Amino acid sequence: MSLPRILVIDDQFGSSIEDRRNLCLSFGLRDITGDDTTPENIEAPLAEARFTSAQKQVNGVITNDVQIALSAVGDGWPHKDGWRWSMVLLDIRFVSGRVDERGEIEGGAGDDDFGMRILEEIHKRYPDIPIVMLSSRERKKVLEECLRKGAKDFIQRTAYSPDTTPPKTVLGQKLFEHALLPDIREPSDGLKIVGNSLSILNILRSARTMATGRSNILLLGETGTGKELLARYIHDMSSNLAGPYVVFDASHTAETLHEDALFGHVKGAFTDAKDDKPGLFEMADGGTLFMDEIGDISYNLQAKLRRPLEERVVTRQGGKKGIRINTQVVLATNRDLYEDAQAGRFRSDLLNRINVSPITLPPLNERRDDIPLIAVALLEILCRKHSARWPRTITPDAMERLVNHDWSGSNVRGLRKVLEQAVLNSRDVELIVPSHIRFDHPIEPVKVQAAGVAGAAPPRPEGDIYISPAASKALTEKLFEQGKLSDYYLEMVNYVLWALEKSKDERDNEPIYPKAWFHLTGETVTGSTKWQREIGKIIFRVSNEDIIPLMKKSGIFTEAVVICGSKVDSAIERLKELASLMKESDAFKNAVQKGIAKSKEGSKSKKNLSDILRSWEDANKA
Amino acid sequence: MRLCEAFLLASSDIASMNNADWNNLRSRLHHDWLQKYFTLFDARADEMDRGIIEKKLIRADILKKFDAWQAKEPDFEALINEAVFALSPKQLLDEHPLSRMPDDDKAWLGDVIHALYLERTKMQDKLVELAGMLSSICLTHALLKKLLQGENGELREKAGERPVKRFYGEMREFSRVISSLPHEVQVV
Repeated sequence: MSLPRILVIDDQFGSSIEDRRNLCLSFGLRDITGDDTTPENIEAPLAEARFTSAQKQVNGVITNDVQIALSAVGDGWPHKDGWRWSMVLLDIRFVSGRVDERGEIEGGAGDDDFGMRILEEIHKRYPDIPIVMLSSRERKKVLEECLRKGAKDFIQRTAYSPDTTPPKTVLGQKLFEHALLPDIREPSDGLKIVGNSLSILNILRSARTMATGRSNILLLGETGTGKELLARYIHDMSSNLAGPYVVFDASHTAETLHEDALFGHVKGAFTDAKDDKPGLFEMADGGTLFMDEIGDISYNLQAKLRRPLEERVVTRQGGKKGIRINTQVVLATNRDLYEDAQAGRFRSDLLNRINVSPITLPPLNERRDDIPLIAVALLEILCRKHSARWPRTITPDAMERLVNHDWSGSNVRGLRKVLEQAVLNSRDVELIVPSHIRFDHPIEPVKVQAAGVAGAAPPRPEGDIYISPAASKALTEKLFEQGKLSDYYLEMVNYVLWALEKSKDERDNEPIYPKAWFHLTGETVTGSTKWQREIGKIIFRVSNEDIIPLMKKSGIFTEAVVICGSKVDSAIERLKELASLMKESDAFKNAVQKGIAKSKEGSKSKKNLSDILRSWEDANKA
Repeated sequence: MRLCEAFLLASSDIASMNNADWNNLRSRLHHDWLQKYFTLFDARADEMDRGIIEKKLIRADILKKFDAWQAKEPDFEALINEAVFALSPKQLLDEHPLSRMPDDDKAWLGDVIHALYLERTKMQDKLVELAGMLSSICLTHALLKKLLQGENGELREKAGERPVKRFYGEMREFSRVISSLPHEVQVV
């Protein structure tokens, strides 16, 4: 769907095709009602419109009927073909009664405010649908009542001055402000926000509204939910911005370089400052600066952000002169900045300045209806990227797998990875079938790799699953300091377990996995007591809620138990705790039994696990 | 002129549409019909002006819609004509409890309060203004109709630049003044 669809509820335009043609022409609407055999050809239409009169005529008498209006709204909220009304335009006066020989309708009691009744009923039943009143009544006389009853705005159909804004421009403004519009841009890289779920359409509307101002915009949401795409959307929607779109990613830039990247320097500010250099704030002047992973910026640098964010003034390092900038700043993070502020890791005063009305992107699991649309859009991009066959189709059962998968933690990025794997494994097929869909990348090691400490990583092996022990260790410590470990634990567990599982099943078949196994078990785990402890801590400090489902994957869990059982006291304690939590759980019993079987005779691990199993059995007997 | 003269008549001679009927007529004419008539000009004023300049015949369905005004002229005339009485407090004499007064008293009191009402509200001035606007609109409409049907020469010269758009402006001003008339009987 390239144009938004709106529903127009109006007695006259719903019934008189000739009048409707004129309305469509002046408002830029393409009539899709279906009852006009020769509709006007509308140049550059703003929207498609379906018309209904909300009336019925029996024996020459016209009656107003709220149910007709509600039924028309329900047809497109949401429609079975995946679209939904972007907006409803609603008249106020609906003339009813007997039709005389001149075609005049006599009028009836309640006609004058029948539109208000419809408004209340629609708003009650479909509170999220944007309703804009369209009437010839004087705006100031009825606006307040309309807003009170749930309308978003009011368009006075005919203004009294001949020089007022043309109707098409007025409608365009109202659509921009209030309508639920999908992202219909056509960016050169093909990347845009795909989706027709209410949550995403509401977010796009908020983004458009905020794009018209100059305040700081904070985007929140899990990794892979599309924060950068939304930042780009905000930039593109800022019609008053002619300047560039500039990105600063705190997690991809060494911390020591953050200040220089953002503020720049003057010649001689420090040893290597051979020339003046503008920072990204200045480079984005007249445009947008997108600051990703804002939570990764050091506490000291956070203090320096206040002036550019509040006063729009920056001073280069070593410089004395403040430079005024006209930059829209969009900030993003997947962290809980409130929690960070309470823990003293993020400055409360900065948080107050950037957190005026944050936009939170929903995880993919909360907008599953969008997965088919996103999957098809991604598939096209990926097929073109890899020169694979296009067009192609995802079969309904394969799509069902995608829709029902748990995308926690990976979101659209995870979906992209699954589809990319499917494309790479089947470059020349017409159909993507369930066997092409493999969910074997619960996390993205790239993120871990990227966040690692420069210089700590040994030469990278083939494949993208490598994580260097030194980098991981350093990262773990860094994340401990920043209080970010709760998320990281889970990612690490997923990562380790994923690698373990792969090595178990495929170590002899796939060229990549043995290397992962080697680095995790051969070199890293079995070769380093210290690293074993790290993994042990990580695995066994995961919350009960998270670890119990993991334990049910007994093969995976067994490996973890064998690795950690002999070395990590806290792991043993945790296992004992889990034994009491998982009474009568065959998964637990199986995992521990397998762990015992795999442990070497006489090892501490075997003894520990046997003790735990015995206690578990005793508790169950009791 | 007929309309203007009407306001100079004695109150007892004017027509007698009550307030509710007059408001109903105003709703039908002004809100229901005229505002929707305006969509023709929102959509087609430029096209019609171009047609006049380029001496092209306008489409029959557009001309028909434009013509619809003529059928409504008498109704607008009546609306203006009836407004003086429909908004006059004299009407209250026909309603309970004043309706119980003796007819003789009602006659003189009616004339007094009607005169007071005219004096205080300057209603006649507004209605004379409206009547003048209506006369002008009727003339312009007739002229434009001829132009849209293809007549040119002297008439076209007389019409000036963008005559349809100017006509639309004139009608919108007419609509604004109608809209500014009160709905309720004016108590003085």
